Amino acid sequence: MKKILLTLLIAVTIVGCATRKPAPISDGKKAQVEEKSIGSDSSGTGGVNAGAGGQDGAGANVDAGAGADGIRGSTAGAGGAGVDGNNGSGGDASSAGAGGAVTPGANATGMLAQRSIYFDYDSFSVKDEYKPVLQAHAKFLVENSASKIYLQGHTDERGSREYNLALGQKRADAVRRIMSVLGVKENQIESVSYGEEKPKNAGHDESAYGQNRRADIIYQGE
Amino acid sequence: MKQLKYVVILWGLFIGLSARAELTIEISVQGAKQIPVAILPFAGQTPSQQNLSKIIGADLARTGLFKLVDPAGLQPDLKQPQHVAFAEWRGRGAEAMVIGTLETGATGKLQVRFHLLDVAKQAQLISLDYSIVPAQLRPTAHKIADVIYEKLLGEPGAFNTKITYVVKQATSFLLKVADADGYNEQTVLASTEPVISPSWSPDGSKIAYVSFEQKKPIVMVQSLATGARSVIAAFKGNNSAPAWSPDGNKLAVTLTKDGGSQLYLMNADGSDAPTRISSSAGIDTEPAFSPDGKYIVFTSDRGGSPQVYRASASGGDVQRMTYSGTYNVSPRYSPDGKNLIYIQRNGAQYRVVMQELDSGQIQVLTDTALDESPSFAPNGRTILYATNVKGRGMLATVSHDGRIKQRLTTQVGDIREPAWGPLLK
Repeated sequence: MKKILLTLLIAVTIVGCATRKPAPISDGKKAQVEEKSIGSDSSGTGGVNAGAGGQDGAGANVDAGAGADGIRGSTAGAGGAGVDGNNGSGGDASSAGAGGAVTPGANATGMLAQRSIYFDYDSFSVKDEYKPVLQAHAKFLVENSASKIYLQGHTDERGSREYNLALGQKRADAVRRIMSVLGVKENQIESVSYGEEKPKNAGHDESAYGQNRRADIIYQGE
Repeated sequence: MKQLKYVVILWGLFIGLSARAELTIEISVQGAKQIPVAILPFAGQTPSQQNLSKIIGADLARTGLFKLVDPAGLQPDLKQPQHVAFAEWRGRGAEAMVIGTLETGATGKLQVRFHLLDVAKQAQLISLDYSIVPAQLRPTAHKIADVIYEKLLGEPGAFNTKITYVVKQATSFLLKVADADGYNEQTVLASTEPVISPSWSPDGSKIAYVSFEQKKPIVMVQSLATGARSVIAAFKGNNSAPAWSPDGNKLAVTLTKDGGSQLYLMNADGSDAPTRISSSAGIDTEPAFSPDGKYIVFTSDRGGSPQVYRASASGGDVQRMTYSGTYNVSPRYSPDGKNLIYIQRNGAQYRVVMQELDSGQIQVLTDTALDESPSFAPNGRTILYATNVKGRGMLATVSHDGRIKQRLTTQVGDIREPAWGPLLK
């Protein structure tokens, strides 16, 4: 019979795992989805089965948004692509991804190891301090034109989820524009947003929010 | 100001489940008049059947507008209005009372009859009969509560309705549908990727929502009767914020296929290409139709901060609706079309506010701090929203005048993205 109350007996562990690395968003694993009818089923909560099986890594940490309002746009100017040192070239730091495309690899060091660009509250302006990071990734992508990235925009948890989704998109697009200026071809970049749905830090304070307002660079096949 | 505060704990005792299910509804009422009503156990109710009188009583009590008068010991087994000792019930403080019968017919059908009586006038206000199958007991109890509510208060109830919401449980996102009293919870979708923005079709048969199962937001529509799903919008970029037109034929959505987040109109069955109805350099999202279908309200940052705007349903004649504060989002029309509710930020507080369209007057309805996703009950009396207390997502309701507040909490769990469904037939 159906009298299941709004209740969850199951311990909920909220996201978490700040140490897990975001996995590629197209790693071939499918999200696991199970739909149900509620016609005349009498089994209450029904088999929930959200097995962890298909749980793609993207789950790990993404997201955090800013309740952001306002947002002043800007595309931090990108000075020439003169990458400053740091294992820029695909050479030793890179590895072949699943699809054959070269990626910096999980063991990348230096600027190529940095995969997150952080934003201020209410802002999608890319700060100057991230220019070297973007220049390094742009150089890698220019030298490896078969390589592709996803730019995932994220916000902290405050405010509207839908507005945060749009704000995360603005952050991803701001990074995409800089990469374009630096010579990366449009077909090497796809910007998407997770809004506040995938926080890097599951906490609820300013320091967590700061880690969650970000754009992640995800190499396809890495 | 009288502040009445009590906690109703509903135990899932009669369920027969080994695990104990529990929903705690905490109600806080400020300054509202409460009608004392006695709801007697229905004659013929057996312990194995669901308790009609308790379901009705719980519905009425949850509104904060009624006070239940304990009928114990006074005229048990009362079946007929003509046998009511009105003076005694008056002595107990009841202004209204409900008596009824429940009989099992030869075909297995249940015959339910109730009488609503005015104790002071010693008169019957209404009496109705229902012939139902056992599975309809709870919905029938809610219908009876709706009749009582309307007779005593002069406005429609919203007990025979459902709500939807999303539960985050470990790594799973569960889209749930439950009766408005929290019972009969069912999982309609279980996904390892986020699900947001569920939206009821006007007839209550389908839910549109945003799923990240393809590693980016896409809009889907799912039939509740069959569980069948269809992809409505999966264009390049983000696809989100589905909102049904009042006739159920169209969906307004937010797409980024042409650049930034903009509003589009599409057929609700996904046929035909989307028609763009907004054109700003910034974000336009969270569309919601007016009840008459003539307007769409939405959130836009075109003026430098997110504010609520209104356009005609085809996107023309855009007007800014909010000027107070730098963050006003998630607008929804009241069912009578006279008010807007939305989330307003004030400092670190994100709260549900109501704005009267004619006067522009704004009232902050809630005292919680991180409110999201407000939606009206179909009678316009109550607003359901999500909030966050100590890092845990929970649902809450507030009456349209801000006086009556409820928090729906669970022992464990993170609940978000609620939407109140239409009145069921």
